[in-house]
Amino acid sequence: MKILEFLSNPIIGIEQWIMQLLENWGVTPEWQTFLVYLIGAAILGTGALLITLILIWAERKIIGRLQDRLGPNRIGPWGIFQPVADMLKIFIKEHIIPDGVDPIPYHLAPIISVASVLLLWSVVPFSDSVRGSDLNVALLFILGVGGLGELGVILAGWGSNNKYSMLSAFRASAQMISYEIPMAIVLLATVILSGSMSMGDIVKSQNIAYIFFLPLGAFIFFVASIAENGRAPFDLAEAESELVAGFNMEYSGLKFGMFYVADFLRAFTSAVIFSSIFLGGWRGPGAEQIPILGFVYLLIKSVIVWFLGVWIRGSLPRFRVDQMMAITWKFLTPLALALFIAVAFVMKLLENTNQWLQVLILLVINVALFFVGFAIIKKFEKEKERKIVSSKKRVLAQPTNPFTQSETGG
Amino acid sequence: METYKPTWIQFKIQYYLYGLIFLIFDVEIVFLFPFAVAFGKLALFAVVEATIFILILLGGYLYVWRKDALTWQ
Amino acid sequence: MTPLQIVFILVALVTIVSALFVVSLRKIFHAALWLIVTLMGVAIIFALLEASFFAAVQILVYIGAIAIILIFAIMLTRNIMSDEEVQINRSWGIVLFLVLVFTVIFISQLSSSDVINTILIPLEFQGQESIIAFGEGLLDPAGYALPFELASLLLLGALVGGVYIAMDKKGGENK
Repeated sequence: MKILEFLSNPIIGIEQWIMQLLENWGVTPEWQTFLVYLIGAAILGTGALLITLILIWAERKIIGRLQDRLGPNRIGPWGIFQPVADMLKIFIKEHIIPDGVDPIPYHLAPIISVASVLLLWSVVPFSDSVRGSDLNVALLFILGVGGLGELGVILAGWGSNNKYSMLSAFRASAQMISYEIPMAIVLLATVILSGSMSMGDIVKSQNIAYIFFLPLGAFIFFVASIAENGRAPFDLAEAESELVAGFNMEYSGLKFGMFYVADFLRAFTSAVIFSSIFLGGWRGPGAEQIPILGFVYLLIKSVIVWFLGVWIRGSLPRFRVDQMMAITWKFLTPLALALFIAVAFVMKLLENTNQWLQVLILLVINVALFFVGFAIIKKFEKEKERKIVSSKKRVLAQPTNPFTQSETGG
Repeated sequence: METYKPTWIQFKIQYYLYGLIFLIFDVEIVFLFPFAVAFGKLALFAVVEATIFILILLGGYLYVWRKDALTWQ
Repeated sequence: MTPLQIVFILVALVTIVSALFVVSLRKIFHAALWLIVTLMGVAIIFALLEASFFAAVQILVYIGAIAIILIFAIMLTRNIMSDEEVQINRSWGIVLFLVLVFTVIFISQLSSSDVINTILIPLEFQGQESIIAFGEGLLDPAGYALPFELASLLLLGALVGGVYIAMDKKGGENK
């Protein structure tokens, strides 16, 4: 029975074993906790980076299938060793450092990018008792870490000593900061529902998943987190076939690999956060008694959300930069603010009623807001239609008779 | 490799505008977080207060919108 | 020494040294980066004092917004690739001496009074309670509701003023 008990909550079991071991070596309790946290952080960070390997393979396969081609299939059965080959290639490439770079920003930028993604893993609750740290301001922490991501991009652009890199970095960071506002406002609406900023409390208070309370909020959050990550259809900053430079143009070898890893991992991390906040995280049948089941539920939910992101990536064409900025500033932000006011009023007026009634009314309001907002924006922006360049027929472009073309000067 | 002649960037002021509007809304959201956390214990009047807070800033936002500061040229 | 004390001394040293770098470096972009380190140091000190909300707000607003807008402004106003100016004027010796004298007097007076306590007192608040109390006080009509609304007016003024000044430049660019 002890084995079953250990298996049902392995992480706590390991933690207690380590603390017992340290106690036997005569370490004081304060240093014990510190060392256990250190080991836990190392394991979590390494685990997150190792997940990236699977993610890279899966994403390339899925995008390949969406584009009607096979993904990588040469290295190993179904190409599952492809990321290993990628890793080896990136490790052994030469670090070409351009001439006039500023050493500290240039070398710091990939580190800050990866660090900002890994920090997000520290507040995600994996089960009732297992999480990196039960921060009581976890949502503000998530937003702040997004800010660190923008900083990494700016440092990369500036440190490269390349005007085009800098320009691209500014554009990428303007995109990232613009999409952080709707995310933050939707998180505010979530805090109203749950009464706490801590992720553990938010997951615990979701007897009914918040996506039913705030479907519009979930939509806004999903779109904003895809855009903040810089993935398609918002990937103007790293458009593979268009720009001469991205902000990570001057990086080679492992440093570029770190940007690459940060990009892919960020997609999965925002899927995990989305499913924690909106889909109920580790909650599911039987997750309170058997914590490892909670971990499995979280994995399933976030894989579904991540798959949705990859699906969108493979299907939609890229937005123009002015369309992208118009979406956030003219559509998402006012909509999110209106949603917040509506949620605040409705939840205060319906404070002690049945939860399902609240869900129903909020659902109706969400859908209504979406359509009203869309209609208003459409009407507002109508006067900006582009002028049709020319509607005159051009004689030379439409030869009627090729044998008489030369008479008109063709 | 250095470029042939010194180049300069046409740094659009649009970046600064986006940063400025982001800053203002960031501070607004920071003010609204304690309101949201203490929501269970507040009266309806507090919701009205917070709505006034947001509406004042929405008025400014409307001004910014009409002034065309949000459009990327 | 407890780990807390070691962390505090390290963080305080880093903050002070980076603040010195902010005011004395020649390349202004580097000064902006050291400013970010200073702000991060202040955030960590907030966290050490168990004021977690303010640590997160410091990172979110100062580093995530103000430092970025500062960097944008630096890029906008300078030909940044080539700029080296000495940041120190001739009277730096006298100023340093006066600052040291002032610091010594200040700290000695404060530590001999009963106002400042250098031992970390654990708060009775658990979890969200401190933020809930903060929110209640902020929105209470008998509390700080009026400054709350005035803060929004202040933000409105900043928004409109900033956009008004910048739009002249932007309009000029497009002509």
